[in-house]
Amino acid sequence: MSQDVSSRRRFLSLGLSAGAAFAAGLSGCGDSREKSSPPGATSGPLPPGVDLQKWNKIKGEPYREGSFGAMPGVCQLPGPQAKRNWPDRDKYKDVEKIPGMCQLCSTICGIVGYVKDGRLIKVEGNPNDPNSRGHLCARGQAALNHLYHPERLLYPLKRVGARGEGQWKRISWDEALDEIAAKLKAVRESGHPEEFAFHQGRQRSGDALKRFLNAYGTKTQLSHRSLCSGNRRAANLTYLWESDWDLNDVEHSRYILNFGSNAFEAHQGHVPFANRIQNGRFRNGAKLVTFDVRLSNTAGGSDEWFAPFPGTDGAVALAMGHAILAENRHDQAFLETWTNVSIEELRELYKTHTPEWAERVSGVPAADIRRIALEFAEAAPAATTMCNRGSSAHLNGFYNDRAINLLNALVGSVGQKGGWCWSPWGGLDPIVKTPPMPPGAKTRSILEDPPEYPLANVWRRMRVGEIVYLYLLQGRARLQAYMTYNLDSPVTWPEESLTQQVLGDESLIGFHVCINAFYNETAHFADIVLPWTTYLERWDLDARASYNLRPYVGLRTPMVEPLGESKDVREFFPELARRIGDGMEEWYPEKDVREYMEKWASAVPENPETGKKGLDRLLDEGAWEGEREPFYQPFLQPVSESDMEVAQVGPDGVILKDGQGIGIMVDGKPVRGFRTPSRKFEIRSAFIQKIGRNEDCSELIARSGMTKTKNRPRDHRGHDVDISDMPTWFLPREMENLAENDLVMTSFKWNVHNHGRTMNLKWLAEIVHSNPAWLNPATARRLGLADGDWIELTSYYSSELERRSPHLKRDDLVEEDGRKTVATMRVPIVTMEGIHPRAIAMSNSCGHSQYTSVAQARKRPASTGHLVGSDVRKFVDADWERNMWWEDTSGGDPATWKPNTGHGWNQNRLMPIAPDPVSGQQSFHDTIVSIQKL
Amino acid sequence: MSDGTRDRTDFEDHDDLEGLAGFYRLLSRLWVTEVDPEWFEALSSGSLSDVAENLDLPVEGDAVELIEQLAVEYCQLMVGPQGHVPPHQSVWTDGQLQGQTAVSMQQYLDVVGQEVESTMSDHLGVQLGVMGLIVDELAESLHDDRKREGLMELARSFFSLHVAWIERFLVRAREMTGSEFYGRLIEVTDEFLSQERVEWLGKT
Repeated sequence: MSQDVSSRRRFLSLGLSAGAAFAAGLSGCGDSREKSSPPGATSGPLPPGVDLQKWNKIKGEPYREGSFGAMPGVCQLPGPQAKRNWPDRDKYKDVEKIPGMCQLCSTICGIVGYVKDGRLIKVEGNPNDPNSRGHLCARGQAALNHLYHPERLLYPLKRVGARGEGQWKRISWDEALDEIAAKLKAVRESGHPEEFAFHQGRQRSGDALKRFLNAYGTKTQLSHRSLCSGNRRAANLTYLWESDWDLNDVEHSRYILNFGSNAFEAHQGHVPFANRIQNGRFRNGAKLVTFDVRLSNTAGGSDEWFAPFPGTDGAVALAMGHAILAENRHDQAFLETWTNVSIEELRELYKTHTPEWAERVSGVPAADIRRIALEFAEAAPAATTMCNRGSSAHLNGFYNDRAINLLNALVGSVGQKGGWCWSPWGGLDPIVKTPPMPPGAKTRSILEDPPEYPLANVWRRMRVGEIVYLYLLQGRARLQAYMTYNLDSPVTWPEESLTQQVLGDESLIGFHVCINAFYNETAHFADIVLPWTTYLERWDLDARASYNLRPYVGLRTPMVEPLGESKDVREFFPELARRIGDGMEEWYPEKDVREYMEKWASAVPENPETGKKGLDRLLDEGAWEGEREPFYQPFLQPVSESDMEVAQVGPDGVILKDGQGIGIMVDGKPVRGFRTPSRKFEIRSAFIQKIGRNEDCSELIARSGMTKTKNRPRDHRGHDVDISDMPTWFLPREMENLAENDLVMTSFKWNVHNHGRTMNLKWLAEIVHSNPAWLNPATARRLGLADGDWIELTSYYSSELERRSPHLKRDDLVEEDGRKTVATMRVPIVTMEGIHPRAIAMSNSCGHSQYTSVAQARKRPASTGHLVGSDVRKFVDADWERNMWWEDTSGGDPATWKPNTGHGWNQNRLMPIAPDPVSGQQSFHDTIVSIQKL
Repeated sequence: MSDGTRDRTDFEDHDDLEGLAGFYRLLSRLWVTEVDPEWFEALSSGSLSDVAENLDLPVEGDAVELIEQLAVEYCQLMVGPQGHVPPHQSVWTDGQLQGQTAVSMQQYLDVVGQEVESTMSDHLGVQLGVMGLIVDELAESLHDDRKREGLMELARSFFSLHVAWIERFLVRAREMTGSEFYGRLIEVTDEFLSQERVEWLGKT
């Protein structure tokens, strides 16, 4: 033998001793974790025997180590050898196609997964999905990166040492759930269940979360809606009440007026919306005009693009209204019949808002404003506005969106085919009913309903997520237990450093459980981390507000077995409830998730062609859409004779049944009308003015028939806010006279990323991984800057916000030269014409300090003490070694940094916590920054 | 053997193969999960104390403290969530979890007759365990030429495809860990697998 015989003998001898110990009963298989490991790895009972016949059959298979490295279906970057083994003709042989729903952004497109040998090898759009119609963006295609990422969380972890230190040990699910249950039970028994907060990022399992929190007895469910769409929703609600989501019927439009929305790249409607916009343009010749401070891909793909001064969308919209009225191009019949103001009142509203005035504040030529307004009116009723965060994420965002939406009423396109539409179905077709839910908790927490923001929660829960950490830091609320779910607040929330400070402080957050598929910047500050399944491994019924203007039901189903020990909340919440006890467990009678899903989907009707119904039908088709008519002109729907028999008609024509509004008499006929107090499209909203002042609105609410709308609670008293009952507009005071070096910072999303959850996917990170600041060349010249130069940005707190929201008390911010500074950051610039000369833009998504080595663009270990994700250099990813060309080795040195390298900067570090005083939406696009050349 | 490797049953008897299987299973258990109280007791003062002493595995000290320390060290090395060395073969061969390596592993697990409860079938601890089971079966088949030949072929194939890579893992793991226990386990495993590579593949 060529071996060291004594060493060899020693191993064999020790092996015999070990074998004897196993035979004597040493198992080590006692806990759940080991049981879930393959028995081959443990000392369990011997198998029945090796099946050599089976071996003889498979041993000829062409399996060779390394031979599949470049085959499609794995997560390799294209690289220089991309075509070597492509196409592989056998790739899709013997695949099973399984429907599901994407969740790599908020749009929730239907998908089909190709599963072979238990592995997902491809994802594509599901043509049966009525909303997305088989389309899928680049994010969705990167599902494989997400599912099979080498740095996914696979096991429950428990913190060891100080919070935020990054030391962990693996624990079993039993240990994790026992500890969490004990903590939550103690919180409940303390008499303050509201001090258990559940904080969600993007979530699509609302029923499961609500079930758990209701059964537990806390209402402190925090969301990120205020970071996203609060003002747009509030503006829509003032007019409609029944829906916070306008669904612009662009597919049938002839004119689309876009204020700051980047639907071709992002937007909650993204792919389904973009698809219909293009259909409208190609089929109807619709014109697309975009106002955006930045030349987004949507702006670039428009017929016309204008770059207004940041936050002046509302001014432009008001001036368009002025032009339409001045030329008498308004829809008089609609305005007189279906709005609650007279033409004269409208003329008074628009009187001072001339195109020339708008040109002065926005920079958009008055002639263009006038021309476009008249073109828009000419195309009506097949004309619609569209807007989103571009116009709404401002301190004046609520009023921007009020002014924009009003244009649709002026031209009579509200609810019309090709016009500005909505539907009452924001999600699933109401035909499907969740199994019985526990009643809602009655607790109160200012974290969930801060009294200073009157429109945040009166129609529906929008909450004010960005103030949570500030209020905790200021001692305005306390949390004994905090459960985060798919949340990356240090990256996606404003004021990264404050967020980290609070998350790391055990006196402010007593116990933190993080549920996530990856170790991110929030998990880093957790006490227990639970490995969550990806959206490709779990169940949901799901749907978005459909651009077909009718509801549908989609299915998310496990395409493959969950990796490692990852679990979904649907699986472990029942277990947690049983451990907490005290009746919680009674709300989980089903034996497993599948049984729950069968009950939930049971109302989905039979497909006559296949004979399948309920969950079986959804498993077959992925989605089902009912046969309702699109939700056009709902205000003309007749009130039924039976309702009219017991209804009363008031002097203003409003029809009441049992004290609740159900319709309005129009031309002697009872029709549904709008679901507002006047049963009309409410241009003047007495409600918002009164609710801002904490006045009783019970009568108005009753007339609307919207039983879920509430008065502000008693603890809001003393927090009155003046809200204009009519559309209006103002410019935040700090914008009025910008200093020469001052610019307005704006942010944006790329077509391959969402806000903070995709930079770990290397197919996408290769395309966009960094975010230098965009600067107009004229501005750069004026400031003595050139493309590639580095600058230091200093951001300032808004004086407008300080005046309107003194309760935020930002005495902690350092004051310099009469301004409070928020943060500084050093970044390179790229110069391009596609940005307003007084704006500076940086994208979201970049600048991770955790969230895997991919998100940090690292091939080599970081210096000691710097917290990083697992490092690819320590294992072999030949693909990464060969193709990760964008690693930045400059160490932040501007002199050696190369363009298009590195992982970028977290732009939100510069953003102050800045809630709109009316709705609470974070004003992401208003921050004044000064810049200095480095 | 025509391929240059020897038939190890020529020089190893039943007890040797039982010992070999036992050692594979010992390593498997130590790699697949943390040292729990039962195993700590066995290694420090129980049925495996001689084994631990002979291998210089440091297991002396306060049980509670040491078990906790070993759990943290195991997590840092094998689980993460940051700075770890992934113990799944697919990461090393495919650059992802559950690559085609995992499909191949599943085929071998089907052959070996194990009912796999985890989807992480290409964990190195699992693979060492499977090797132990094959050798165990081999020990019981020394007098059945046909079965023995089949098992030898199976073991060589499995070692080549799903065990040999572990040495690469060990090189990285040695760089990473500051743990006395796992540092020693790396050395022992490396020495053992080096010998095994020669035995099964005829390569040094």
